[in-house]
Order: sequence, then structure tokens, then C-alpha cells
Amino acid sequence: MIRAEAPGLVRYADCVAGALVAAAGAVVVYGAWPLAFWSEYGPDAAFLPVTLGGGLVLLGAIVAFSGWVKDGGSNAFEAHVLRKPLLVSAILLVYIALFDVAGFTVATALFLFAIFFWVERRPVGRSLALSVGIVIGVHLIFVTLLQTPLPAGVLKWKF
Amino acid sequence: MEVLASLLQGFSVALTPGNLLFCAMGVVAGTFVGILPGIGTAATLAILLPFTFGMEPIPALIMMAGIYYGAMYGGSTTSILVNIPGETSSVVTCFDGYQMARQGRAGAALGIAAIASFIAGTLSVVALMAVAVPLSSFGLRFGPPEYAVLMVLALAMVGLIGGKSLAKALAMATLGVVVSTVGLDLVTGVERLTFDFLQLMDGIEFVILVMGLFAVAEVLLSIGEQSGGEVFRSPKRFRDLLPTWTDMKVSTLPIFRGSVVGFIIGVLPGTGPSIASFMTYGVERRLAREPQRFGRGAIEGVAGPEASNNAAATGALVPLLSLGIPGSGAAALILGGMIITGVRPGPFLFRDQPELVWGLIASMYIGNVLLLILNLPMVPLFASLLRVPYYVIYPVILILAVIGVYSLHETVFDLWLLFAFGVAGYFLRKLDFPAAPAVLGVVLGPLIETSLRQSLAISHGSWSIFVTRPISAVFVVALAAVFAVPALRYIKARAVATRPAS
Repeated sequence: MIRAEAPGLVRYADCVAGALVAAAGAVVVYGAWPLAFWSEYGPDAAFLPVTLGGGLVLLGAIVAFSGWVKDGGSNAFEAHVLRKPLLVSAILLVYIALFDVAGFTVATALFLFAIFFWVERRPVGRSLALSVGIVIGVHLIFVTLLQTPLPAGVLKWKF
Repeated sequence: MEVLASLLQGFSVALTPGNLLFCAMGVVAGTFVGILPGIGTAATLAILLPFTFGMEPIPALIMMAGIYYGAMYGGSTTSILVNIPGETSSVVTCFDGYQMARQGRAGAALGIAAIASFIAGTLSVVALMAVAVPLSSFGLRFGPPEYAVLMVLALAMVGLIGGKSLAKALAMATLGVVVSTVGLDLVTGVERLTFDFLQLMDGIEFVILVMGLFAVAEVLLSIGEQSGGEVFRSPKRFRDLLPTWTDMKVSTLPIFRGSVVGFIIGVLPGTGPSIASFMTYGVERRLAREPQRFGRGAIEGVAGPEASNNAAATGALVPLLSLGIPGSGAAALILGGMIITGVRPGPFLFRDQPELVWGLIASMYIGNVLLLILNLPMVPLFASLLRVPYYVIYPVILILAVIGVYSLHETVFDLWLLFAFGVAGYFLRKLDFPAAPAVLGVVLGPLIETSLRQSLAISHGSWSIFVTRPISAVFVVALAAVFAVPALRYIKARAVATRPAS
């Protein structure tokens, strides 16, 4: 957990963010390095990625440095602010993992129930009713009406 | 006369029952999503863009324009009734709009916002016609070097103005361009930055990045911040939404001034509705006989910025349609949507596809009328949406993002990318890395690379081509100025800080 009341926390977060941006730049340079940089007609395939990757390394360093020298603090990274977004992100991760396997309808119903019941702390009955209601609505609009190709998964036998 | 004939041709395209229906659908859907707290114009466009995929170019563009206008209007309703701006351009509307709602004048505030948006929207479409056609003729003189520098200039300006830190904004723009380079190289056909993932061979669809940065990251940001005050009841009767004659009299000049300021600012790349609305608010406050009324429910404080906001949104379409350069994140999304439907905006658009571009312009007039006649009576319905708890709305937004991204290639791999962009976007935006430059980067990336490589192929690898051509040289000077301004500001600030206290 990162606590923001500590002086200089955002400074620390900016340093980490700057380092990550610079690292992303280094990965881009590494990925494009084996390709040709310049040909007789001018820039080749590696020119833009390598240049931009170098630019990211530089910009990341600037962000990290300016984060280091500036003062400040905010509650942007306090645990109570991060709890819900991280929980929803974890549920979204499971939803995506189940999307093809369980199918759109089942995965969506489980996703909604998890949000209502665990994240929002709603009673089981209401969570269930809301999940089923929304899934039926979304299914009607996207699968029945707009015929969007979505995985049927475990309900394949029905289609 | 030629413009008038072209516009009539545009109306004959836009007024077909099918296109009219798509325009109405876009306006209503844009308002519905745009009204949701925390969802701005760009996020609304991102969420609704997949609905236009697979459509013919003309109805797709007409619907996109409708969504754009609807989203702008939806944002102001949320500002007035809930005091939550969907995006920075709606912040100003909160100042006096919410105060009016607290004083029981929500109807007048919503009504004047709709009327101001209508007048500004209509006037700025006239201005768009007057400016875009000559600008596109001028754009016909541009070759690859001019385009390459102009697009880099547009990116740099968004970086300079759009964020708190130039380095962070430029990093986001660079990341956007990097994402656009993933996949097969446009010229040689070799794989780039795919890291042996077959799914990356075709590149990363800009929609995935946009959905991640706007829909997913926006939701994660909104649920982390328990904000929002009381939701004020909107009037039930239509006549209660109409401002009084005194309101109209007081608001007339601010609406016209806001329209002019908004359009001029909107045309400049990187500025857009936020700066326009803040600037108009400042102007109106300075010109007011009783400036102390501002912030306490002055109707001019709603009328002027709302007009400016909408005029700037139309102004941002001028460089997009005439030169193919989007001036804002939302305009970049429209450009991306256009490219997906097979339309390449730019000077040739007016020459080669007049029915499309004039149909789009005509649909903007129609969109403004529809916004007024459909949305004003529907305000109570839209407002009732604000009473739906956010814990019901946000999972639905996430599901819409998942469906929109999955329907692109029917692969879960795209959903993993969506997740990665969403979570990364959440943390980046919490650290004040702006999202708009990344969208602009990913949309402009392929165009910048193509123009750059064509330019250097023409000059046999000599960079002097960018300074020996007059128009390109002017853009290079402007680009240098964009980078010099923050450097000079920094030096000045340091000099002030180190000056002795005496």
C-alpha cells in the first residue's frame, strides 16, 4: 500500500511512473532493434519505433526527475481509494478469462453478480435479480437484435 | 453559390429517412451515454463507436456526428443537475448551472443550455462551411513533408495545452504512436513489436486503446472517487424548461460571444472546448454589470460557456475535415471512426467525396435541430437516468466496452489488451498523464509515419526537405515555438524563484 499523506509520496509515484515509461521505451527499442533502421530510400521499419522508444526513455527520465524535485502530496493512492478499482479490475480479469469458456451470457451474469454482491455489498436476492435482468436486456439487444457475434460457451447446445 | 448548391446536395443525402433515423439515434444515444456521470464526450464516442462498424460510410458518419453533439449536450445536463462534470469542458457549467438548480431554476438552466447549444451549433456549422472549404483548397498544396510536420505539430500542441505536464503529455502521445507501429510495417511488410504474438500481426485497433483509456479507466476512476451531491429534480413539464424573456435577453449576447470565441479556439489544434468554455466564462464575468452574480446562479454563466463549448466542438472538425488533422481527442476518435469506415478525411474529401462531406455537414444542422426538438422534451427522461444508482451503470459500461472490443475480431486476446490499457490508463490518469494525446498519437501514428517516409524518400534521405519548402518551414518554426514556450516559461520561473527577496 502506498500512503499519500507521507510527504513526497506523489514524488515517489511520479518517479516510479517515469521509470516505467522509460522501461517501456527500452522494451520498444529492444523489440525494434533487429530490424533495418535506414535504407537507401530513407527511414526503414525500425526508424520510428527506435526513435520513439528513445524518446520514451528520455521523457520517462524527465518525469521521474521532475517528480523527484517537486513537493506535494495527494490522496490519489490511499488504500480506500484504490480498494474498489482494484477489486473491480480483478473481477474484470476473471470475466475476460471466462468469456470464451463459459460464454458471454454466463460470464456476464457471474461478472454482474460479483460486482453487485461482493463489491457493492447488495443483498443476494437483489444482486441476483439485477444480474439476470441486465443480462437478459444486454442479450436481447446485442445477440437477438444486433446479432453481434458473441461466444455461446456452455450454452452452445441452445444455439 | 457553389457552397449553397453543395449544401443542398448534402441535405438531399442527410434527409433520406434512413440517414435521418441514424442521426436521431446518434443524438439520443449520445445524450443517454453522455449524461452518465463521469463519462465525457470522448468516452461516449468510444463506447458507441462500435455501433457504427459495418455500416455504410455516410450513415456511419452521420450517426457519429449525432453521437458527438448528443454527448456534448448530455454532459451539460449532468453538470447542472448533479454538479458532476463529464469532462473539463463541462466544469464551467457546474459553477452557475448547479447553483441555478439549487435555487429551483434547473429548468431554465437546462433550457438555456439547450438553446445556447443549438444557436452556437448552427452558427458554427455556417462558419465551418466558410472556413473548411478554402482551407481544404489550401491543403491541396500540401505534400508529404507538410503533412508530416503539421501532424507532429498537432500532437505537440495537444501535449502543450492538454495536460499539467508537457513531459507526461508527450509521453502519452509517444506511447500512442508506438502502439500504432505494432504489426506489419506499412512499407516493407516486416513484423514490428509483435514479440511473437500472432494476434499482433494486424496491429492494435485504436478502438481497443480508446475503450481501455476512456471506458475502463474512466469507470475505475469514477468508482474510486465517491463524489456527487444531491440530484436535483428536473421539471416535468416542457414549458418549465423554457427560460423567461428576461433570461433570453440577458443570455443573447453571451451566446453570440461564446459562439465566436468557441469556434475560433476550437479550430486551433490542441485547444478545444475546455479552454473555450473557461475563456468565455472569464469574458462574460468581466463584461457583466454585476460580476459578483457569477458562481451564484447567473444564467449568462451557463449560456456563454455552453455556446462556446458547442462551437468549439464544431470548430475542431474544421482541421479534421479539411486537412485530416484532428484538433482534439474526440475529433481523433471521429477520425479513427472515419478511417474504419474507409473514409480518409483531408483536402481530397471535399473534391472526391462531396456527397459524403456535405451530407455530414447537413447532418450537423439536422443534428442541432433534433437535439433541440428531441432532447428538450426528453430532459425529464434523461434526468431520471441520473437517479439510476452508479453501481448499476458502471458494470453495464464495462460490459459495453467488452462487447465492443470483442466484436472487432472475435478474439479474447483483444479483451486482454483492453484490460491492460484500462488498468494502465487508470494509474496513468491518476498520475496526471492525459489520455487525449495517446488517442491522437495512435490515430495519427500511421499517417505521420507514411508522410515522413514518403518525404524522406522524395529527398533521398535529406531532412532539409522539411525546411526548404515554405509551408513546411512555417510549420517547423511553429513546432519549435511549441517546445520553446514551456522552456522559456521554466527559465522565467527559475529566474523569479532565485531572485533575492528585496
